[in-house]
Order: sequence, then C-alpha cells, then structure tokens
Amino acid sequence: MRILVVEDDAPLASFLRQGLEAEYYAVDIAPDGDDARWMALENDYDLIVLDLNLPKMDGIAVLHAIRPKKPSLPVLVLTGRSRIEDRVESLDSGADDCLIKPFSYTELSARVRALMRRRPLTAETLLKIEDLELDRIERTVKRAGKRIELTSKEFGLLEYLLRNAGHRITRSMIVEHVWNLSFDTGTNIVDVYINYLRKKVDEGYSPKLIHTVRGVGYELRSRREVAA
Amino acid sequence: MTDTSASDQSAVQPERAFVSDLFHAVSQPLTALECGLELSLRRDQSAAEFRARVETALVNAKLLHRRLLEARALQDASEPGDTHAPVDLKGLVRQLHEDLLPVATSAQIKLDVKCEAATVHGNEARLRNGLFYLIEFLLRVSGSGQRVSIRAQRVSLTALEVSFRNSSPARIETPDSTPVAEPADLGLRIAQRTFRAAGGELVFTQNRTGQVAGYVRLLLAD
Repeated sequence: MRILVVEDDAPLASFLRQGLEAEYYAVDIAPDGDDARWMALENDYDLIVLDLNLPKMDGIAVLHAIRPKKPSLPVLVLTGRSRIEDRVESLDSGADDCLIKPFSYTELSARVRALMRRRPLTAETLLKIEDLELDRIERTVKRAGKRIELTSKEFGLLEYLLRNAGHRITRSMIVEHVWNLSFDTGTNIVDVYINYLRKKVDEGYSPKLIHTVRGVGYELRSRREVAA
Repeated sequence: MTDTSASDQSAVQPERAFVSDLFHAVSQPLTALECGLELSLRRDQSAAEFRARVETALVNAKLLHRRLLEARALQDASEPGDTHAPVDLKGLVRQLHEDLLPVATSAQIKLDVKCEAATVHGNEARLRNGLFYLIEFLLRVSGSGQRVSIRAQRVSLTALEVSFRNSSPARIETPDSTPVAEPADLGLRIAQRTFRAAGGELVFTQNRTGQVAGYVRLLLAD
C-alpha cells in the first residue's frame, strides 16, 4: 500500500512518515501543491493525505486537478480550518474525509485504515456483511431475510458502519459523519444509538456483528474477520 | 476622541477575553507537559521511570489538545456563517427531537417538544448544532423520571422564543436562581455563542437541585 503525504511542515511530514511506515505503508512526501499534483497524477497511490494550506498551489486546487483523472483515489484532507463551511468545501471538492488539526496519530491512523479498503460508494446500492443487508436506494435493512425497522439516524449509523466494515471507527468519526457535528463535547449519543442498533440488528441473531473496541470506538465485523 | 477610543476598546474586548481564556485553559497542561519532558531527560532514572514520565507527558499533551479544540469550537460558534437562506425551525426541531429521543428514552426522561411553524434568521447547520448541544445538555442534567419540555412560539412580530425547562413529573416550579452569564458546560457555551451569532440570545438559569429553565430568542424571517 502506497501513500502520498502532502505536507509542507517538515517535522509533521516526518512524523507522519514514521508513523505510517511503522504500519508497513510505503510513504512519499510532497512538500508543496505543485509537487503533489505531479506526483499524484504520475504515480499510483492507494491514498493521499493532503494538507490544505500549501505553498505554490493550495490543497483545494490540488483536489480539483486530480479528481477528474483519479475519481476513486481516496483523499484524506488535513486542515487547520475548523468551520463547518471549510469542512463542507473540502468534501465538496472531492475529499473522502477531513481531519482537523491538531489531531492525534491514533485518529489519523484509524481514518487511513477506514479509507484504504472502503468500497466505492457510488457503485454499491446493497451493503452486506454475513446475513445483514442494507439497501441504500430502497432504504431497507434485513437480517436473515427478516426486515428490520430503523429510524433515519439508525439507518445512517448502520450504513456508515457497513461502509467501514472490518475497520475500527472512532466516536469522533461517527459524530462527524453521522451527526455532522464539528465538535464532540463528550455526549453519549453514539453509545446510546449503538445500543439501540445492537438490539435491532444483533439481538437474537448469530454471529454478533457490532463490537466495542475499548478506548477507540466500534467495529462492524463478520465471523470470518474475527477468525482472521 | 474619547468616543473613538471607547469604540476601539469595545472592539478588541472579545479578542482579549478569548486570548485570556485560551491562555488560562492551556497554561496548566502545557506547564505539566514541559516539566514532565524536562524530567524525562534526566539521566539518573530507570527505564520504568522514563516510561512513566513519557506516559504522563502524553496525558498532558492530550489534555492540551482537548483544551485547544474546546477553545476553537467556542470561537467557531461565535461566527454567524452563511445566513442568506431562512431556516425552517419546525423541521429542524422535529428532526432533533427524533434524533435525541433514543437518548431521552434510555435515560428514562420524557422529552416533550412543540414548535410552531416559523422561519428564523441564521445558518441552518449552526442552529442545528446549537439546538443539539442545548437539548443534549438538558437531557444530561436531568434525572430519571424527569420531563424536559421545549416550546417554540412567536412572542412578537419579529421574535420567536424557544423556552425550555426540566422538572419532576409531580411539580413544575421556576428555578429561583439568577440567569447564568457564562455557563460552565461547554456544550451550553457553544449553544449560547451560536445563538448570539445568529442575532439571538440564550438566557438560562439553574438552581442547586439541578432544575434548569430558560429560553432561546431568535429573529423571525417570515
């Protein structure tokens, strides 16, 4: 797996390289927007970590330049700008996820893993794990062929877990992606919803699919992935 | 001359207050972090002591990180955002009610919400955040068996009030304390600044028994 890290701050770039290489990714560094555009278009990367505030060409312009030619390349944007509008602009410009500085390496690592093997959203209307199925068009959920009624937020949460099945998802990721909140004040809303979802999706069925990852968040996982 | 000076003074006042609050919030964890790292570089210590010091430094770094995020969230909440489109308050409140009902039910709190049809000034995403943090706070400070009541209704030709209170099912009384100027709870402070940025205000009281009441005043757009 090869990652392009676009970051002009040399100590931060070095720190990201060390962390990602320790997780067995091959890492290239681009120190400005011009280099980033050239490297992203010339090489085959599995993911780009892109700082928005760059010399020569800003991160949004880099996104605009690479998106038409590499529509399915996952891009994780790093930004010091935390306003809702900035986050929306990044995602509208083609970023797959947005991480606000300052961040912890654990949070970045979780998001990289989640993006790396995420299935393309546009191609799939049916998300499935074991005997659990979610139809994104019909807005229906079935387990073992039996229909499960979910509220809109429960549906959104399950869809997010299914899109990231097999990966650890932090509470911050859920709060941002499902509730669209820019800041987690420590609310227990995620845990409450997970409990509701467990009762509807896991209770009375085997295997259990929703797992708590202590100190991190949650993971939707199949029996095969547990065994692996 | 004096008027200009007074006006300059009031313009920089919020900025000064923000820097002062930020300095206060980060100084303790930053000091602990710096001292911990200095101590960890001393040679006369075992590997276990070194590890313990680094772990303590990491805890302080995370606390510092958290304080900075809180400061930025408060600063962001003070910005109005794009307010060109009026906000359908009834739709917004209905959605929030549905989203937060599981939280209320799991805590055995009755969440009672009524909102009359109205459009208000503000940015939809920001008002949603503000109301979310407010209702989530009300649920957090309310005990099992209590009722959280929220009513949104016009109070004049130009304003709408979202009144709120929590109470036990047996009796409803007004908290006897004075309004809280700067709430201690972070979510409530974010909500307060969000409504202020939309041209409104949040007035809030809480007494010693945890009973809460108040209102959010918003400007009508219809």
